Amino acid sequence: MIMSALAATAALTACVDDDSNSVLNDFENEFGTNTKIELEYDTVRGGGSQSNPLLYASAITVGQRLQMPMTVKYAYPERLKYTWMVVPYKDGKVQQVQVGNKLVYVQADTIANTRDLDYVVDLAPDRYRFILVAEDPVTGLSASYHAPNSNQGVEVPQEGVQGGLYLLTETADGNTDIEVFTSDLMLIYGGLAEYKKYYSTLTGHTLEGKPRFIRGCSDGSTAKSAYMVATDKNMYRLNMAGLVTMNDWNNMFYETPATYNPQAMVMTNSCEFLINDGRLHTLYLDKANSRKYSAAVAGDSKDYEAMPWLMFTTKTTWRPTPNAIDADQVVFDAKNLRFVPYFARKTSMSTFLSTSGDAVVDANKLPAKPMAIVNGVNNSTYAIVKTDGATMLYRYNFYNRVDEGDLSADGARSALDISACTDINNATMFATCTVGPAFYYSSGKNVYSFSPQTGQTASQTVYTCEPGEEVTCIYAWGSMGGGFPTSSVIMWIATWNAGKQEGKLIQYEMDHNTGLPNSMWGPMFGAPDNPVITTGWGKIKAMTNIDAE
Amino acid sequence: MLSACENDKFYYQDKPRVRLVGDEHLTLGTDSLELSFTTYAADEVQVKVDACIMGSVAGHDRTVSIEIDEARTTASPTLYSVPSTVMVPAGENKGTFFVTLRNAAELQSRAVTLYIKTNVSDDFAVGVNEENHLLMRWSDIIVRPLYWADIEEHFGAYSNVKYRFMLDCLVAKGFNTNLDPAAGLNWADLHNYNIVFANMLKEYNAAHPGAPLTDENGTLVTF
Repeated sequence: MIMSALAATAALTACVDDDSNSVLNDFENEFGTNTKIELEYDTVRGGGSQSNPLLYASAITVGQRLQMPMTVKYAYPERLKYTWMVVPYKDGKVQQVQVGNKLVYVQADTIANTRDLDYVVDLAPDRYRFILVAEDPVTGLSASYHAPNSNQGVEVPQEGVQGGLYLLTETADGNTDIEVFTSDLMLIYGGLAEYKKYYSTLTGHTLEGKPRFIRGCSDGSTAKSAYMVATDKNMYRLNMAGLVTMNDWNNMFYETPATYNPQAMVMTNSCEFLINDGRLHTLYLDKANSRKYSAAVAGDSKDYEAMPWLMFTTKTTWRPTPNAIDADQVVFDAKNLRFVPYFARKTSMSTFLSTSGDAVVDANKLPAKPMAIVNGVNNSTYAIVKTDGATMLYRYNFYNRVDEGDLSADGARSALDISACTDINNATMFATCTVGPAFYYSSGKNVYSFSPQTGQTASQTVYTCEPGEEVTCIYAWGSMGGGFPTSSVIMWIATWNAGKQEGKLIQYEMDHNTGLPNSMWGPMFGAPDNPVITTGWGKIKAMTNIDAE
Repeated sequence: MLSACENDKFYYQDKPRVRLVGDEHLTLGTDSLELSFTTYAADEVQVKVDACIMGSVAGHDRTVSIEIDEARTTASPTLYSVPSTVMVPAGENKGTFFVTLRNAAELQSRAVTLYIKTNVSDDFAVGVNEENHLLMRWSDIIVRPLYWADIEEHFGAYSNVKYRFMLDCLVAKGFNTNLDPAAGLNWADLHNYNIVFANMLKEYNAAHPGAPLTDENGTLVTF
């Protein structure tokens, strides 16, 4: 009997004290369970739900301090051994290298053995993922935490790569410089900073000619990793690293066009599209190429004269509409007053189907040459046309839809009279973000907005110039998204004061639904000022941000 | 004196003779050349020929006699021009002349030949057998290139009319007529050519209203 009692006691004790990983012995204490280790970023110690430096980051820089306070839930936290690792990571997987005739995974580097990470970035240019592994050496139980979640990891860019808003400025002697601006609201660029005369400081010279446009472009691969800068004298492909000239106009073509007149350039659908002197040239980057633009694409049955406008996004790969138009690009033919599609890798332009009689707007025949064409909400297309004494906003949709003879974007509201918009007939600058319906415009005096989805019939004032000030450029980023919260809510207005010989940059957080300033993300991310105004710039004539074009 | 007699064996001892050497780019060092007008912009080509002497240079001008071997010549006289004499200037070791070869519609379906040779003149005897003549053969015949399958992705199904049009375009633009990807052309290079052809075809059809370019099978040519 005593033996039985002892055995029973021992058995009870075993039940209470057994801390093995057996399912039969699950238990939980104030620290967590004994069957699962949960690792999370500590938002309390980190300073907020958005404070995780790797949450939205697309890039980190050498020398940057990464602080990742972590929480752990586990019954025996004191037993855990921690290992922070960093591994080259791209396209959803750890990168592999050839060793002999085999592909092997790149070995991860251990960068810390603490729960919290406090690390000064010291990595070669590449894309990486950070991993925290926690292991209980007693039971062998382990868990891991990965950051960022992005399939492309976080990039350590090549030296000399400065991210931010690139400003094309006209110098006093009529040439072009590049200046760079970053702000807290832009999130991933390290806060407010102004890189005045950035290009000329880097290279020792300016670019010949007055600024025309700047756009993200390719280095010959499918990566958007260079800038295309056009002036009225030359066009340059500048590598992101150090803005080194890769080539210029004279070696950008198989056959350099007789007339130099670059008007627009967009990289989309693995292709660079360039309009020069009313003709479309292509450079397909997902095929073996010599980084040269093709001869001008032929017209269909008619010759064409393309206006300086190109679509940012013409199709989608995520749940595309069956039998959607699927053009690689669309241009506006000013000679025949029509939109014409260009399909992948063709030698000639094509046409849309004949317009049905009940279409609200006719993409095959506009009443007049538009004053402007811009990329509108959800990748629709806006054309502002003066006709019959009125100024009209025509809205078309060529994106992810079937062509059945009516390419109107919004039913009866595809044609709106915007004659009441202040100064619209003198507008020379336009800006949009395809995330919202509003468009912005300026003739040089003040900046206005109009949203076709609010029911308004007149414009709203966004910015009023000070005495002696003129608007020189307006730009809203995020037309193709940038993958981070503020990538579709910021707009910049550039002004020039001739008396002071000084440029000003005004940054607004905008609501692109209403076309008015709105502070939502700014306060959340510790950037409450709206607008943010900086001065001392050159005369800003064009802007772009390559990560959120 | 004995030394001088021994050295004499190293010098040419025969009477002066003359041999023919054609343009090396065309003959590749042989006694014949073949030429296709499909890769020439003009309808006439000048072939350079050197009448090279065998023996010492002279202190006076000398004359080479050139004749046509009619038995080995199938080209009609309208398709070529050959000088009957060539001068070797004093102090020179050769005289240079040009043979003109001409294109004609008949050459799109057959090749023709011209056989020229040196003849005895007052100044020269005929040169060595291997080089006393030059055979020239030319045509304007289109032949489907062996690599067409490798470029069909760009240019579509082959036809003689289409290929001739492409060659004419390339020649007019001063581009290389070799479209073989194995020669180093990449996708973008060929795509660019395709666009060039499309543009030039538009111009051709616009210049021939009602008669767009149609191939030998009755199919409209497209790019």
